[in-house]
Amino acid sequence: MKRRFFLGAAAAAPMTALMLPSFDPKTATTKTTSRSGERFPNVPLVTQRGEKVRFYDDVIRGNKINIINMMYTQCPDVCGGTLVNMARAQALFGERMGRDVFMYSITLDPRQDTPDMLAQHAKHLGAGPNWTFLTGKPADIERLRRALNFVDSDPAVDRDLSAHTGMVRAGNDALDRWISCPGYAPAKQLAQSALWIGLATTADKRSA
Amino acid sequence: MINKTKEIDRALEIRKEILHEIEHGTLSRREMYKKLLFGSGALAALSLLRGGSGQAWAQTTGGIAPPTTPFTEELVHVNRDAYVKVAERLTPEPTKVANISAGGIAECGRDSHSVWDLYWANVKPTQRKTYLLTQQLVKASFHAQLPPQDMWGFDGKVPGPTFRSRYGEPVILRIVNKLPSISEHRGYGCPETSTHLHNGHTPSTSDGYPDDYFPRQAELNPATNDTGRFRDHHYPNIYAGNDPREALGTLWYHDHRHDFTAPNLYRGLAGFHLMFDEVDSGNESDRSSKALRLPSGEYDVPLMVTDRFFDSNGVSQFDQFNFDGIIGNKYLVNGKIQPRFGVEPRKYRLRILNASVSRTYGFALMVSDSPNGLVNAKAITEAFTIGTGGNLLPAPIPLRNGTPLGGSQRLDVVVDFANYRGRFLFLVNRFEQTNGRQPEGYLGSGPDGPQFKLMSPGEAVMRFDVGTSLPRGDTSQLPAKLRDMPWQDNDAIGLLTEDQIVGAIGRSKPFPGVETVREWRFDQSNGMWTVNGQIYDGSRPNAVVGKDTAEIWVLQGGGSWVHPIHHHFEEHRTLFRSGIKPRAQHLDYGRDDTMNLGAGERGIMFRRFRDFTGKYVMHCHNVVHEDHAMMIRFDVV
Repeated sequence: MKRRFFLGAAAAAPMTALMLPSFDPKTATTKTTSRSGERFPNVPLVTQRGEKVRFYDDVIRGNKINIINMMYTQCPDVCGGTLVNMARAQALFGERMGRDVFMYSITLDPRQDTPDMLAQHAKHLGAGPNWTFLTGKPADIERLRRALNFVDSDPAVDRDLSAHTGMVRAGNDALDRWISCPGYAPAKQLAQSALWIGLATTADKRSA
Repeated sequence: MINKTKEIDRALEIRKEILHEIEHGTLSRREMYKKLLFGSGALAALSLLRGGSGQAWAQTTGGIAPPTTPFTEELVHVNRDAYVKVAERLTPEPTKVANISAGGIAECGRDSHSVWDLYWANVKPTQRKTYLLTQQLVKASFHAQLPPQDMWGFDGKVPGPTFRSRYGEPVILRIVNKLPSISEHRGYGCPETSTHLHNGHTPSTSDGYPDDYFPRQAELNPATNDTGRFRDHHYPNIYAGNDPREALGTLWYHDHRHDFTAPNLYRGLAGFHLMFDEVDSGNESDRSSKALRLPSGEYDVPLMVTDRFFDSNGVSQFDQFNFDGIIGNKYLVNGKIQPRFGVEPRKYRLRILNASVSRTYGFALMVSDSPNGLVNAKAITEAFTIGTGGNLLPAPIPLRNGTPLGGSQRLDVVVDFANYRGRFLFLVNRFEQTNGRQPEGYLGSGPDGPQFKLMSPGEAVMRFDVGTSLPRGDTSQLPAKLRDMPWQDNDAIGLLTEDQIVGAIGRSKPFPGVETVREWRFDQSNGMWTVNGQIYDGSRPNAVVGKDTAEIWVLQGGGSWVHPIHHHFEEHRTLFRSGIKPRAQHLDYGRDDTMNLGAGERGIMFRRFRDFTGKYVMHCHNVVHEDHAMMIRFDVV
């Protein structure tokens, strides 16, 4: 099976990518990172307030620190701890929430999690106006999940919704810099890790 | 003279043929390797094979890396041409307490140097060594066929300059951070740094603790027209417990910034630090009867092996959304892709370091019928492992064909090229690995480390071109006895059974000379790396150990992962690996700072905590795992 996948992947690579005889190291691009905009699908989503947003344009884009996790309201286990930690981190960010720090929780179960259900969940958690819960079409959510790599490399584990990852992503699109932090880390560490990303300004604005 | 254009054309032709045959299902994998590794097709091999098999890369970057002709770049000899020079004078002078108000460039805040008086102030000035390294942007050239690209280097070098330190000669290493600021830098990595001397027996303040990072100065300093800021590291260069049998040999330094070790290491912040004493004196003509006279100087060759992922533009990429581990599609040695190294027909010492972010290698030295790749390749018998964990074993062990080397580990090898005049030898990786979990085909583990299925013939990492003339002869030796061990096989600790040890987990003073037995379970739950089910919290210690005590630590691996578990401070002695006690013929017989735990494996080590106090860490050296909290803090008090 392994071999089949391997061969399939190699064969599926576009032929154009192989046609590189005119490759010239002097004129080739020297950019050392892929732009985040190329990574994130700009899929349509709906917030817990019923607003329609686009993932890249309205969620990711800009010079701000985005903290993102995936959850579902009926999760019996891992979401609870992670979301409570995010709620604590929200308090630690204080007035930076909405200024340069934003939090997003995307449902893994878009069939069940309607905007209303997400709104209720947000209320229980004490989510402020800058902690946005998102749902959307299942296919779009799946694209998002793959792009953000909220995926387990073991397919059996990946199919089990209750085994979903408790990792939280944090990043700033303007800096093209991302990290990931376990949702079970102490809230202080979660907040600290997110702030380590920084902001793209001439003066270093990160408060101690 | 090689006609490169012609060679690239030929390679592309082969690639096209192979793709055609793959699509039509007429090519077996064995045939593919054979085809790729003959002649100039080898240059297509790595990029096609591994570019095609990595699902994560295809997902994030797309495309296949451009071909690079192997064995055209010259090896950078980092012990001959790129070693660090002693700084005659540091301005401002180094101080015990951080000199944060210094005129000119200021030092960052830090705890004061804890053993300054004993191992600096009271040491003869002629025996004290000061060094200055600057972390800065560098345009690195990994291969002439790829574009130069932005990396971070110590003194603008990737790898950084090599240290040659001696026991009894303490060092102050001043590191100046002139990297871009947080707000200027784009992409992976964090330009705040904390430099760890890997395997160093070092006071806590100078150990490169993950949270002891510092940024460059944000504002221009008008006095010096400089935005640098520095941090002084004090390396006393003493044997642990003042016991010469605890000597360290092949160390390396690398960045250890909390949450960013993997990207910062990948950016290039790493170099060698070699230690010498009167036994391993670094002089093959040494007349002292104590000196081993191992191959030295230009015949003592550190090899920093890494892998990088190159996208279709030939630009090295680090996937910030991969949490299993980053596996590259090209091999590099000392910063060059598959270099060649011209050697004389004599003995050499090769200090092989796995500085890859996530890969475990299975190394072999092989002779081939072709200069272009592995044709009828055979492992040679003239190579001996003389050290693991960077330290000398009591006696040489024949180099095994496919010696496992996990993240951060070193393999010290003496090889005699005398029988291979005019021929081509290769450093070969025989383990196949396509994701961060572990190489393919896990066969089990034991006191030689985890074993995996050997690729046939394997992948060439670099080439040795053996010359025919020996202008200066060979005065070096490979003695049958190297360095004594600080223990006997049948001492009280060595006689303990695994059941006795495991039964004593958590007990106080269970055996004479053992304070306690601690268990550390390395696992994953819901995508989060854990140690004993917990997430790293640097604000409190997971263990507090007494200075001048000893403990037994039981490490338990989990899942289908290999975890190279590395601890700071002092080396361990392995008591059991997968139930087997290491003997003199095993690689685990030596001391080590890392135990490359196989999937589900139990490893048991004996550890001492001597000379210094303070906070230290133990973590997985698949540094992607480390960055995602697979780490614990232990305090020596």
